[in-house]
Amino acid sequence: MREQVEEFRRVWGAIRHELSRVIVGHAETLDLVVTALLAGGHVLLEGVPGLGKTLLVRTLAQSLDLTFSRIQFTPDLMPADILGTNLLVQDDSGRRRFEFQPGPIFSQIVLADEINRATPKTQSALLEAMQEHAVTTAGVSRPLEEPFFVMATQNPIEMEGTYPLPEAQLDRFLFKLHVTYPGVEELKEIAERTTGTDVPTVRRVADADTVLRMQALARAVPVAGYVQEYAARVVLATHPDSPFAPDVVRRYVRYGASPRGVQALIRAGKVRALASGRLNVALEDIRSLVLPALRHRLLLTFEGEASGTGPDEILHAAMGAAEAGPLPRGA
Amino acid sequence: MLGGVATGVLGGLLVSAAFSLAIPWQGVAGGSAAAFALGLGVAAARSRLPLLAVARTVDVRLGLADQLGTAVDLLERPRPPGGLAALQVARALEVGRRIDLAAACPLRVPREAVPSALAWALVALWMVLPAAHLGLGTPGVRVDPVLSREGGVLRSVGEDLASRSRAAGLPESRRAAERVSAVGRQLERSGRSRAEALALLGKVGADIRAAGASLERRVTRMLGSRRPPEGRVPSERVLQELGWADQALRTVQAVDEALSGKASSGSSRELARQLRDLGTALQRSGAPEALRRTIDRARRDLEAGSPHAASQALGESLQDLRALARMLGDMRGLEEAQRAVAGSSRHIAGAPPASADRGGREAEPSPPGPSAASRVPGPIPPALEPGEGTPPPPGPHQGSLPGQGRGGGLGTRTPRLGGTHVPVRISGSAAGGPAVVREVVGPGRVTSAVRRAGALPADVAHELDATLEQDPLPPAYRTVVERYFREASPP
Repeated sequence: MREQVEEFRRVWGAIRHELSRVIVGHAETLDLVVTALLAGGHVLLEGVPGLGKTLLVRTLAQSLDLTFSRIQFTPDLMPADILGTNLLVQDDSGRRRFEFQPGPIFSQIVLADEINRATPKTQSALLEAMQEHAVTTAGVSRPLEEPFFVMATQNPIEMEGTYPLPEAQLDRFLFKLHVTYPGVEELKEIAERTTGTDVPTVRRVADADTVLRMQALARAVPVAGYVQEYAARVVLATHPDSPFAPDVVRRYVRYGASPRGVQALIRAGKVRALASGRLNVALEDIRSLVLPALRHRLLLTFEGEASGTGPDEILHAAMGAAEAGPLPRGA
Repeated sequence: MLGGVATGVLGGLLVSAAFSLAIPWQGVAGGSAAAFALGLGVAAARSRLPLLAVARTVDVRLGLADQLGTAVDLLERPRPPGGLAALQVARALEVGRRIDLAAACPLRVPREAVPSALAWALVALWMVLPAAHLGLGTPGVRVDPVLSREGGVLRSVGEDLASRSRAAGLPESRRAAERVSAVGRQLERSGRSRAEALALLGKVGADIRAAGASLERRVTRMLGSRRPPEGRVPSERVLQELGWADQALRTVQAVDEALSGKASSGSSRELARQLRDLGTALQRSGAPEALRRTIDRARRDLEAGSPHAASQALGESLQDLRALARMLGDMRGLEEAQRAVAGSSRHIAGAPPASADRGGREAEPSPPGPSAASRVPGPIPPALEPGEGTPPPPGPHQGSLPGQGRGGGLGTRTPRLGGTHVPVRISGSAAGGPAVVREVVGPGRVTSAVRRAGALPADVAHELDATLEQDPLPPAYRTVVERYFREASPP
């Protein structure tokens, strides 16, 4: 067991190192992306074009020796374009039969680029794949190869001709990450790395089996009861009719986070604990994950939308309300 | 916790000192000890924390990221930890062995302790050192003006009471009054502490109570079964209950003078009727049986046409009633002295600063006359009229009661008759020397005390009518007043 823990830390560090060789800055985003991968979740990246979202996913796939496919979502993209379709093929003896031609979803790392440009029908084609890690076409369910990891991107400023993701699909993402604009030093580093003759190459530091072992190890990390209660309180505090809900939640939130929110906090917390060299989930792990894990699970009221109050502010208030009461101190 | 207790006690001391209150040191010490013991008990109870709470506290203080808390949580579960959980527990134990207990549970003096102790010391110095060393008014210094003022009040009250007691031949009252005035003179001389002054007043009060108790016993013996409450100076209620004695004395005197021809005589039947009424009143009041029998005998003698025998019987009654009246006078005098002593004790023990400041009594002691007049009931010093000296203190009942000026705001003024004030009052010393008495018969009209009924001057009648029109008098009362003046005026 100790060896597995050591391997986890070593591979974690190696992946982060490879990502950092290519991606400049965005340390927290990189941490959370790897966390989501090892927690078995998916990530929705939101940011303006040109911030390296696609490069991040491609680099991750290269460093992990996993199959990778990129789907550019457009309004005319059809579900079959993603999932695959049955084709009529003729063998050497002249007999004809239907043969399933897998779509790009049949990869271990899938980049759903600008996912909000596809129609809801096409977006929903991802639902089963993301939740069940399987695809059903023509009545036949086909499992996806593990590990299966979807990274979707969306552009928050070009909203014309887009279809906002439905709540059910948003809920299936473990994290929603904001990719922010780099600073001066980071821009200088980007210019240094990408305009010269030396192009950084990515080494493969882990394979699918390693990732699966790391995911299994992360699930075994113990969580104290009071830590679970804190996570549950935070999620409950996002519900306007909950006794934990602060005023801003009662006023601006229509629906709070689903139970998947608690699952996301605990699963990601376990990975974060192992990555930090700990064998337990700390309250601080949960606190640091509340924003990325819950911000896309809140449905605001009209007043909340109009007031400009963002989900992050509401979640800060929810955390404050959850910490207002004493956590169980034991018998 | 200790700092909180110390701060609370210190706050109480500061308030006591700031408001010149007598500090009950024994109570303060007892209260502090009780609070300390209670705090220790609470601290001991709180110190018995669950293991998980202790582990979480250490986690927070040493930044262990919930390692110990999680390990304790895992160990408290029914199933023993296995796999990664067992590894976590083992690692937590390893971390626990390296814990620096001094860093995890530092024994620190509470932050409030040092300033509290310093403040304690300052307050103690402030209360002990005289003003000359500090340049500030210490509580010990500030009590001097209060003692001087109250001493003046007591001296004035005592001398006046002694004068009246001598004139009326009231020995107990005179002795008490002399004690009161002597204590007043002692208090006027500064140098005593508040506690000493209160002890002195307490002793005088006890002496007066003892004299009152002795007097009560004598009155009880005289009255037979009626026993006033013992152990203290008779209350106003008891004195009111014995009010029949004054009435009886006046009636018997009047009848006796009528029988001896010193006053205008009525018919024997009329005198007998007065004695019968008196007997009935005495029976209702519970007067002594012997007195009622004597008066009844005098009435029967009168009805039988023997005024001489009736006069003899009344003489016996008069003797008993005069003795009783003297004792009642003594009781009233003792009551008055006791009230004066109690009032001074109250003011010295905790004179409210609001009244002191408003009257300017705290800053500079004023002559005791007005104070004594406002505190001591009775006809001794006449109250100052508005516009003649210090105005009466404002209070919630200004104009109707001698308020202390402590109310939240001024009350409604009592409606006054719109007359012109005549600054003429009884002159001469109380209970001694010639006295000139004048009577005000109307606004601006002064005449002798005895005046035959005559025609009301027209201007006076007009002014009275105008005043009655202005004042919101009930119609029934106004009718009575008008009828009185109509009947009083000559035909």
